[in-house]
Amino acid sequence: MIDIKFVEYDLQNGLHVILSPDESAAVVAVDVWYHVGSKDEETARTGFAHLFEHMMFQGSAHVGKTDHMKYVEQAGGAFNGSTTWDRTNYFETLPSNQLDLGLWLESDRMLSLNITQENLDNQREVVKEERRWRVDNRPYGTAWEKMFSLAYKSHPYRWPVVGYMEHLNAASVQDVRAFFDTYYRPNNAVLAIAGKFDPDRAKASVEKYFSGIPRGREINRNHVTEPALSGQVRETVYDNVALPAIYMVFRIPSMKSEDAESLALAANVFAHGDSSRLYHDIVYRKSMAQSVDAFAVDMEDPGVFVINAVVSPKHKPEEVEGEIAAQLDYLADHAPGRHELQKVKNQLSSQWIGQLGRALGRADNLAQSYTLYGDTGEINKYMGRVLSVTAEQVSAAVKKYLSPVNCVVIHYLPKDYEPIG
Amino acid sequence: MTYSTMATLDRSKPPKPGVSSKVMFPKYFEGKCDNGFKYFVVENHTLPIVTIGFVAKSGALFDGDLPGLGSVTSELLTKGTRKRTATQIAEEIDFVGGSLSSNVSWDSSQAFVSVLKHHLATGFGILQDVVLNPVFPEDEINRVKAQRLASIQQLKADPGYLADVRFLSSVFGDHPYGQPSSGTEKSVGKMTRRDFVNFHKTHYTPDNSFLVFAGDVNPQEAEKYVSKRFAKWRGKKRASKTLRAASEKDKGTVCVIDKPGAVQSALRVGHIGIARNSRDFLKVFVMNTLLGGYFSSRINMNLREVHGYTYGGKTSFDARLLPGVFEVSADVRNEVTSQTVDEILIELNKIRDTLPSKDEMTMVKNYLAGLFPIQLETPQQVAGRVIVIELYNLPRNYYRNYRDNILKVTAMDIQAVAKKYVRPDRLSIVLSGSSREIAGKLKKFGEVAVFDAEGNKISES
Repeated sequence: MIDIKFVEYDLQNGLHVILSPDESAAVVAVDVWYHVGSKDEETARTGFAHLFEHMMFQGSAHVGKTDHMKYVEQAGGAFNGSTTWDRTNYFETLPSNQLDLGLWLESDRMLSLNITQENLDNQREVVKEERRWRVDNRPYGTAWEKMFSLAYKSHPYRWPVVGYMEHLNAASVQDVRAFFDTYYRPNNAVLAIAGKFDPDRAKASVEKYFSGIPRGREINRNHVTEPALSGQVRETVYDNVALPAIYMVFRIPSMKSEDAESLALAANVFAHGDSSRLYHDIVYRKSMAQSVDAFAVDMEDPGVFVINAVVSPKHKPEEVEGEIAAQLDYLADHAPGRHELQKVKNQLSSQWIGQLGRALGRADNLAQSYTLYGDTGEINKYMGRVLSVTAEQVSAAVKKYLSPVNCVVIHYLPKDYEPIG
Repeated sequence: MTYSTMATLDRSKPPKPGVSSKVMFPKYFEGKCDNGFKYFVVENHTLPIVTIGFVAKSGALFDGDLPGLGSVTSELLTKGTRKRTATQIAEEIDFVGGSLSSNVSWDSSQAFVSVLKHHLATGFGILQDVVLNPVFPEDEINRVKAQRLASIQQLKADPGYLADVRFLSSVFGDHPYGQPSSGTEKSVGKMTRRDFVNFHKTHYTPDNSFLVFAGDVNPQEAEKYVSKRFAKWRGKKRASKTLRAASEKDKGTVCVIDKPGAVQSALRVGHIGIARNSRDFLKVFVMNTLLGGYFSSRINMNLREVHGYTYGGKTSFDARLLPGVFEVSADVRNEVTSQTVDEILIELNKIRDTLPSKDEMTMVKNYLAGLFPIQLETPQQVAGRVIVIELYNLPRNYYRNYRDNILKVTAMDIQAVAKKYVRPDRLSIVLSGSSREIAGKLKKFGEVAVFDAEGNKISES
C-alpha cells in the first residue's frame, strides 16, 4: 500500500501546518481548510458558510476585488473553494516556483478580508444564480435538500448547504464580519501543502506570512444529537422531470465510526460497476431502472447512506423500491462471498490510489484527515481498515443501518404522472 | 523568524516567483506494427496505475443518416465479444477494481481501461477483446437502445440540454454537426445490428486506430502486449471520404425553447468557428481565453463579477476536423435575459474593434503558459495530449513548442483573429426558459421563433 509522507506542526497562533513534498511533477498545491460548514450556521441564515466562501474571493487589505483570481491565473495557476456541511476549503494549484504567491494570498485574506456591502450584494446575486442553476431549475435538483430535510429534525444537517433564498436575501455585512471573526481564525484552520517544494523554505515562508495573524477565540461546537428516526418517512414530489426517480436515505453514524468502512464496502456491493448487485439486477437484467447509485456520504456528525435510482419508462417506482428492499434484506442476512468481498476491496483500493495522482488530491486528503478525523495519519490508515473488514461485518452493518424503519423514501414523479395500471 | 521581523513584513506586493523549472512536454515512445497500427507509451511510475486508451480516428461526424450511431456502437463494444458476455466483461473488470469505458467524440471513438499495475494483463485482455471482437448481440442492442431512448426523454427535462440541441441545429443546419451526437429518438429507434457491425468494420481498423499506454508501464511491456493482438489485426483499408464543412449563415436567428415555469434561462450564443488544423488555431485559442476562457476573462468578469447576472459565463471554440462551434454560454435569471445578450454583444464587438491592453495580453499568456505543467501533472493528462497530436496529425514537437508559441501571440494577432472568427452579425441566439417571461424582451435581436421541448415550432414573432 502507498504511504504518503508528511510532517505537521502548529504555529503559535494555532494554525496547523501539513507539508507533504514529493518530486512527481513541477506543481504545488496550497490548500486551506477552515473547520466550518453549513452545520455551524444560524437557523435564520442558512447558506451563509457558502455565501461567505464567495466573499473570500472579493479582496483583502493588499489584494484588490477579484485580484485573487488574477494573481493566481497570471501565475498559470488554478484556484477554487468548496463548502460542505462540515468544512470550507480554498485551494490553489500552482507551478512549483509560485508557492509563496499562494501563501501570500491565503494569509492576506485570513488576516484582512475586505467586507463591503457592494461585494456582498454582488455575490449574493451570483449565489442565487448558482442555486437556481444547481437546484431550482434542474431535474431532481431539489432531491438533496428534500432528503436532508426529511432525514433530520433537529440537527443542522437538515438545511441545504447552498441555503434558502430568503436567508440569502437577509444576510448582512455584520453577519459576514461576525462569521469571519469567529471561524476564519488560524486556530480553526489547516494549511496543507503538497507537491514539489523545498520543505525548509516552505516552513520559513509559512512562518513569514501566517505567524502574524492573531489567534481567535476557542469555538464552542455544540451540535445537537439527532434522535433516531421513529419509523419510515415517505414523501412524493411532483417535479419537472421526465422519468420517476426514487431516493432511499438511511441514517448512519459518522464517517469516523467503526462501521464506516463496512458501509463503504456495502455501497460498492450494491452499485459500483456493472457487476454490482443492484445494477445487474434492476438496470441490466430486469431493465426497470435507467441508473442506480449507492453511497455513504462522508460526514463528521452522523450522516446518511443514499440509494438513488431513475425508473425506466413503463415501470413503477414501487417495483424498483421493492427490488432494492429485497437486495438490502438479502445482504443483511447473507454475508457476501469471498470473491465478492475481494472485488469490492479491490475497487476501494483503486478508488483510493486514484485520488492521490494529483498534488491537490493529496493535500485535500491530508487536510480532511486532520480536520474531520483529528488525525493526519488517517491518510495512511484508512485502506488498512478497509482491507480488514470481514464479510460478516458488511452484513451486520447493512442489517443495523439500512433497515426500512431507519429510512426516508422519496419518490420524484413527473408533474403529469399517471400511475401505470 | 520572530515577531519583530513580522512587523516589517511588506504584504503590499506579491512575492516574486522562484526559479521557474524547465517543464518540457515529457518524452514518449512511439511504435508501429507492420499492419500500420501505432501505439504510444507515456511512462510514469509515480503511482502503480496503468491506463490504456484505444482510439479510432472516426467519431460522430461519420454517423451519416443515423445521428448517435457512433455513440451507440461504442456503448455496445463492452456488451459482448466472441469470448465474453456482457456480464463476464463486467465481472472481470470489476473484480480487479478496474474501470472500463467507451465513448465517442465528434472526431474519434475511444475505449479506456484503467487498472492497478499488477492487473495489467487482465485490463489489456479485456480492452483488446472489446475493441477487436464485439459481436453486438441482439438482446444487448435492444437493451441499450431502450436505455438510450429513455435517457433522451429524461434529458428533455434539462434546460441546458434543450438549449444545446437547438443551438447546434440552428448553427449547423443539416450538417452532421447540427445533430445531437448522442442520437435522437427517431435515429436510435431505427438502428439495427447491421448498422453497428458496419460502423465497427469501417472505422475500427488497424490503419485508422492507435493505442496509448500511460502510467506504470514501459515500452517493452507495451510492445509485448501489442504484438500479441494488434500486430496481427487485419481490417479494411481506411476509405477516404470527402468531408464537407457546414455552410455559414449570413444572418442571425433567435430561438426560444419554452420551459414553462423555469426560473432561469440557459443561454447559448454563437456561430461556426474554426477547424483544429487551422493555422490560426493557437491565436484563436488565446483570443478565446481572453474573451471568455478563464475566470478573469472579459465575459465572466462582466456577467458575473460586475453584473451578478450568472454563476458563470464562458466562451469556447470547439475546434474539430471541420470547423466546429464558437459558443458563448451562461445560465441567467429571467429578468436579466436581454441585458445579458446586450453585454455579450458589447464584448464581441469590443474584441473586434479594439486592441487588448498590454496587461491583458501579459496576463492571458502567462496564464496559458504557466498552466501547462499543471495540465501535465498525471500520465493520463499527457496521454490526452498525445492523442490530440495523433488525431489531428500535429507536428511531433507541437507541445514542446507550445509555451513559446503562446508567448509569441501579439495583441494585433488577437484583434485580427477576432475580426475574422467572431461575427456578431451572424449569431444564433438560443434560450431555453419561460417563453412568457423572456420571448418579448428578445425581439430587439431579431425575429423570435418559439419551440416546445419536442422541437415543434409553437410561434414566431
